[in-house]
Amino acid sequence: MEAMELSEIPAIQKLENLLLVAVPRDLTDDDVLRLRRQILQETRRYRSHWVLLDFSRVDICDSFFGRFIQSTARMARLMGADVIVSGLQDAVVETMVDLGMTLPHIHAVLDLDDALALSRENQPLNQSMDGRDADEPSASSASSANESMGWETSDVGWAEV
Amino acid sequence: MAEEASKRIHFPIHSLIDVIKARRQGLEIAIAMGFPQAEANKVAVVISELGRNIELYAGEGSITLTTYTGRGGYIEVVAEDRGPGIPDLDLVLDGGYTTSNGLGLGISGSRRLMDEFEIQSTVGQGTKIRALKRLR
Amino acid sequence: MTTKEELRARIAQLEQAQMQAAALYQISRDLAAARNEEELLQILAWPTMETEASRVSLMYIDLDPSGEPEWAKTVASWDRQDTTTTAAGTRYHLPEYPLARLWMADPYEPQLISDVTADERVDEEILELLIQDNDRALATIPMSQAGQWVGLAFLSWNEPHEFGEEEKEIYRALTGLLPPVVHNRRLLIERERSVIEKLYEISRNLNVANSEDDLLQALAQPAVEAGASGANLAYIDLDEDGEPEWGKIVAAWQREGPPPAPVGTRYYLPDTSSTRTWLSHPEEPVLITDVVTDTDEREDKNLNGMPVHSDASALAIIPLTLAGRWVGLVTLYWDEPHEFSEQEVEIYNALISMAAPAVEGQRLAAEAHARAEELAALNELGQVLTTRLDVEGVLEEAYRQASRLVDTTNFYLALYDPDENEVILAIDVIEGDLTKPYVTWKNRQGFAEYVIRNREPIIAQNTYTDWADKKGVGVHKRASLSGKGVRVPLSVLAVPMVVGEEVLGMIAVRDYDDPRAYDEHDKKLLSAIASQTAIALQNAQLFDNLERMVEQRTAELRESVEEKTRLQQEIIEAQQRAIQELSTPVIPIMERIIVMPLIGSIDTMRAKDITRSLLRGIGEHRAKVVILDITGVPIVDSGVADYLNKTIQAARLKGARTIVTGISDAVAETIVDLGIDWSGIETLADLQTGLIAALNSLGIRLTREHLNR
Repeated sequence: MEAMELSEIPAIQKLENLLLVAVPRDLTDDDVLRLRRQILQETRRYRSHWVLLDFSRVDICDSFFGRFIQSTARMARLMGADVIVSGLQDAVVETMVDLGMTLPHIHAVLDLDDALALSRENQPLNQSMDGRDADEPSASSASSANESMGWETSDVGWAEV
Repeated sequence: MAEEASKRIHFPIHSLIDVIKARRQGLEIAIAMGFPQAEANKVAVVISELGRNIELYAGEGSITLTTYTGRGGYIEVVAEDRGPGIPDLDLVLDGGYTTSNGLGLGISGSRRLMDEFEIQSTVGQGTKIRALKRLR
Repeated sequence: MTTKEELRARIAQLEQAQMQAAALYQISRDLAAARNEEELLQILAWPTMETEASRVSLMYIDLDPSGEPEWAKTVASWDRQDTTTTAAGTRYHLPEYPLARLWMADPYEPQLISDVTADERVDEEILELLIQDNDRALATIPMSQAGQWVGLAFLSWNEPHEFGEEEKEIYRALTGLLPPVVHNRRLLIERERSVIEKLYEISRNLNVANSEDDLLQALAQPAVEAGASGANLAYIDLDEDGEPEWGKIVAAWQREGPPPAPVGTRYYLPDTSSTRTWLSHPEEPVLITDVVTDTDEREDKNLNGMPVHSDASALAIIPLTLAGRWVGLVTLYWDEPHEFSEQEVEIYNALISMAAPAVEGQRLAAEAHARAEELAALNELGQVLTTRLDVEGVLEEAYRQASRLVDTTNFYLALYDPDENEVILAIDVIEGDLTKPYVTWKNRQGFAEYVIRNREPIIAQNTYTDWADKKGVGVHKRASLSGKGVRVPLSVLAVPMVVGEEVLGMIAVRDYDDPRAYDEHDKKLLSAIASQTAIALQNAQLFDNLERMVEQRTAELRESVEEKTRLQQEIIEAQQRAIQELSTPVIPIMERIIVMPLIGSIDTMRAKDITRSLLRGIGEHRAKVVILDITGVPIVDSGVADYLNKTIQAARLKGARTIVTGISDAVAETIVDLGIDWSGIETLADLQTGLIAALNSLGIRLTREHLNR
């Protein structure tokens, strides 16, 4: 099996405030080091507020992956960016939960759309935003799994019945 | 009904690439046997965890998959190495090791994912781990 | 008178004196040789022949407690006319009897009354008595010894009598010669009487004796009164040739401290060094006054191994034999040199023949009693064993019952498997601790193998190791409990358990201290136990086999039934799975909100299904909020809470937030009571509230009015 396709396909892309990382299916230790370094480089380059780790291609997610996610998140935070995980497959999710790998301090979304929505609606902790309430709940603060991410007004209209 | 058959596949482990190969094949085999996606995924993760341990601590070893597709079918994963062995086996099995130590999490996690789990380890001689998941 | 006449007179006097002296000498010799009172009397009467006394009497005097003469008893009398006025045996109460005044007038001087009618010593009363008996003259010979009256003799005449000088001399001499003789005679009689009395008492005590202690008490009493410091009684067992083989102490007494040889001490007589002293004289007692200085033909006065105190100085060994056959032995000892009185010697001699029957009788009674008890115990053993049908129970019971009959402190029982030709140690008791090793002995040459192979019981003792070597039997060594060194048993008794032609195993007992611990009787007992056990064991094994066969058949039957049911089960399971998928539906109620109502109890399998269903639902409907309604879940325990937790975690990883609704009061109580931590889980009372919250989280505000319209 060939080594990771990092060099061939640009797996890291910038999209608005997001840095998109398409996590390859299988990672060796060296691959991890390289990828992480790259992520940090790009984050700095684009001054991204969010790093999206998309796991759509990953069908076997062991504790190694778990550690990868945690370490990347920690490093990204140091650079002022928050990590979102997306695209986790059902079987993978079940195994992760059985293993006890619940990624408590990391956002999780279904797909890229939701990730974008999230990045547009929230700002990470160490960045102030204009026109937002001071006591807005911040998405990157330590939150329980189900902390409300809502606010008062929304773009989604709803006809009054 | 599928024929009763017993197959054994041997994967020598010398590098992480061998681990990746073994787990991928393991996943395919498990799905082919009729395991639900999630269960096959667990088998693959176990292969991955045990294989990584072999590579990390012993340098080399082997993973053997045995499948039985009759009534009471199962897939069995045996990971063997002649590495340094595991001291404090009880601590490891209880998951007492912190997450920073990959060895602990890998083994205790694997135990949770499978139906049967056995470790034989002698310090200075090696380790043999056997895990089994049944087809229900 | 002229000198010649004077001289002649003097010679005559001297001759007279010589004759008198000779006569007196003769009298004293005769007195010493007198064997009874009659002979004494004759000696008294002899001088009176010439004097023609009509009556002579000899009396003994008994004193009262204060030492004053109280009674006089005629012990011999002679009457010339042979009338019986004063018959032998007549007693006179001296203080009252008038004549006593005359008799007892002087303890040392004879009273000579030539004519009673003309003597001032005779008063009216006395005179009357004398005349009655036709006594006209009287001579009394008092006998006093050490200031006390011992007796009296008197002679009487029918006619007045003139006492010659010679006569007077004789009477005076007799007052000196008679008392010691009489005194000694009386002592002899006393002693004889007391010996007889003592023997009578001993005999009576022997008759009522109920135990060996009673026997010893009876037999040792005279010695104890003579100051003995210890005594013991031993039974003697004979070998096949009738020779003494074993001595066993059955009763022991010591004045101070514990006896040196307590009850139960056994002596193997052919070995014991002091046996020669002990058993040397079956017909008479061995009396050693002083162990140190006593010299006689018995050179070997070795007290080692004898049941006496190490300080013993004097010894009396009383053999108990019946017609030359040894029955037992009484050993008496003193801690100081002891002179045996004649009385003691007489008694000890008498005991030999007196005690043997009593001792033998007691022993036979005790043995009969023991045999009866053994029979009863063996009976019970048989009965109890038949109530156990399990092999282990039989073996345990056999050990327990055997303990009542023999000493099973060191005991083992092994089973024999003829198919594998193996011996299995089933019960092993070491110093009273029982274990059930069930260890297979392979290639072992021990007593067990020997006994099983030869189907013969064996007793190995004393020259045990030689015997073992000769027979090629391995000696089973055992480390002693104190951890010092290895102990080899000194005696072993092993018997096979045989039923008909089959050998089922063996039983053995061992002794580490006594080289002769077991005898034929023990062998018979253990063999009886072994055969009872063998029968019960065979039954239990047969029963066991039967049970196993039945189980096998049942299992076979069950398997074929199971096969059928398994197929059915598979079908049912497939159906169930399908149903389950239906019963855990995911309902999308609005964009990005799904509801999953759970109904029924949740087990591991179902929980997995629920999780998978939910994850699939989240993916399919792109849900951001899941309302998990558990109104229909009756039991929420820590297991269910755990499953729910996992489900919620999984949902989160797929980007969905979960709200749990429908917690009843009962469920709420259970959760709190069980201490389940649901603080991280968002719960709301009902579906409506849940819905509002869900919408809220999506940025949609609705009020209740909106919903109710």
